[in-house]
Amino acid sequence: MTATPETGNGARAVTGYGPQRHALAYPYWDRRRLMGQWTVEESVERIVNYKWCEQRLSAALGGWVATIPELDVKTLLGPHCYQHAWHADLWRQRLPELKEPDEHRAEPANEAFVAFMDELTSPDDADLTVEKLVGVYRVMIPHLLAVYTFHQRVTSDIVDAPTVRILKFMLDDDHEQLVQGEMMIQDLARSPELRERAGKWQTHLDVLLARSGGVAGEQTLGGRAEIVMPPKAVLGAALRELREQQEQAAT
Amino acid sequence: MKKFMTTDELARDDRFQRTPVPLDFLMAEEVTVEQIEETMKTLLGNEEMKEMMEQQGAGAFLGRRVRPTDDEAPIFIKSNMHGIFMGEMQALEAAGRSAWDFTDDEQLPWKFQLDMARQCWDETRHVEIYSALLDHVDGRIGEFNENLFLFEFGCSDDPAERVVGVNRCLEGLALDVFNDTIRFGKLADDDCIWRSVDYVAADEVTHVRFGQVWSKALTENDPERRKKVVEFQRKVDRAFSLGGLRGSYDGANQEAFLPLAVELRKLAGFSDQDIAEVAGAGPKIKGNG
Repeated sequence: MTATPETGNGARAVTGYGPQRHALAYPYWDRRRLMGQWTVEESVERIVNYKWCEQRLSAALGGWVATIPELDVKTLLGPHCYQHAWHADLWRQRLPELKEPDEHRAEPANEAFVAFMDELTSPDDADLTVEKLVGVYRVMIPHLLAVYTFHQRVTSDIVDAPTVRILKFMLDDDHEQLVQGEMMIQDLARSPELRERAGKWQTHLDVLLARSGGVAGEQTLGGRAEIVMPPKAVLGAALRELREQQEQAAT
Repeated sequence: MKKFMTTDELARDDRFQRTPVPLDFLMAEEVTVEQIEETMKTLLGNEEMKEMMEQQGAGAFLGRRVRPTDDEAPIFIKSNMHGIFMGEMQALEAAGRSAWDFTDDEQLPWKFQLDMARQCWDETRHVEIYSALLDHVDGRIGEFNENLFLFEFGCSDDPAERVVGVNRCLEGLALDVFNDTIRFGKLADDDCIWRSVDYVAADEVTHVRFGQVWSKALTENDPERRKKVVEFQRKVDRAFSLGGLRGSYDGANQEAFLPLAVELRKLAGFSDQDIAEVAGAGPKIKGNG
């Protein structure tokens, strides 16, 4: 938020502290934006998609615990199963705050995303640990990191601040999961053959994910960059004219 | 820090000019049109607005909804944004005090304080948002007088009454006002106004819901206390009817000054009967033709 010289927290407008301090309602370092990418209704529809994904992911992680023979992987998945359930619950709490009367709403964006999730959660046998880990930590979690980071950056950090805060917790969990999952994959898939298997499965899932457009469908990622730019450069005749005007104004 | 501060102790910088709370008017069982006009001039107006009201007749000004293309629209929306900005500040202070004032009450669950703290955060955002929107419509802080009637009527020393006064009545009034502002913003094709206020309205639905839930929970199995709380609620709803200006149903009278936000109130847990009570809470108006 940009403060104008007349009304800002700058020296001209501020005289010490107490009742004479005519400050704005936000501190001088504030650069947040009032307007975000989505309306309340659009936010709800995305959250409903996120919630469905988090619920499915949590359930799959829980289900896999019993199918994985490697003890260190088994114990890795337990906390992640809870973290994604917790994320789903945070989305559940957020829905009524955005005027959605049904806090239990959880829906996939489209059939293609359902197909992707079905494929991701399909490995069942005890010798498919690499596929299970690759699906989650090389495809799903990087996707959620991209989507949640995008959401956090483009929604309004004023009017939609509770969502931004929720995303901060989720992103913190997901970053840690990404590192832990990748370290586990590198430890398990030490042979060239296993690396090739991991790569092929990752590409297979990524293609399916791309077909769906992502967790929130075609509009999952996108939009135009809106960085705060300084005024356009004034040069040549325009600069001379501007300086003349400034000199005249000064006299 | 002491508990239970009075309205005149609320801290402000010296841009804010207070007008006295019109206690007699807000508590009256019967008011005249002239009284409504005079009071609203004081509550809503600055010199420019008062002059406009006097030229057009305050009744004409208050008796309809201002459209974005009207000549009065710029001053109307400035007054509106300034009024809500100050209302949000009082709501912030009320929520903050609710988190503090009852910490010695061992009967009150921790969740109560948690909800009040959450509201405190939400109201802070609303102050910021309306400060920015005031700037958006070319207004400035202090351009209109402040009246502390929201805090005065909303804040009781009893936690059940407090949540009824602040969360159900004050925030309920906020829903009515925001619903109207969203409509104004859409008619003006002003995305900044309607999209921002729509998020604020969503927050307020949660706060009204807090009020519904806590007022019931705190008076459960205590019919005497429940009766006292309902009486307090009626008193505050009457005060917040602004002399009966608020109260038409959505859709029934789109030209009314401030219709009730029926759909938003229902989302927050109001029944049809609750809404009918709010609609009928105002005083009788004499000389209304």
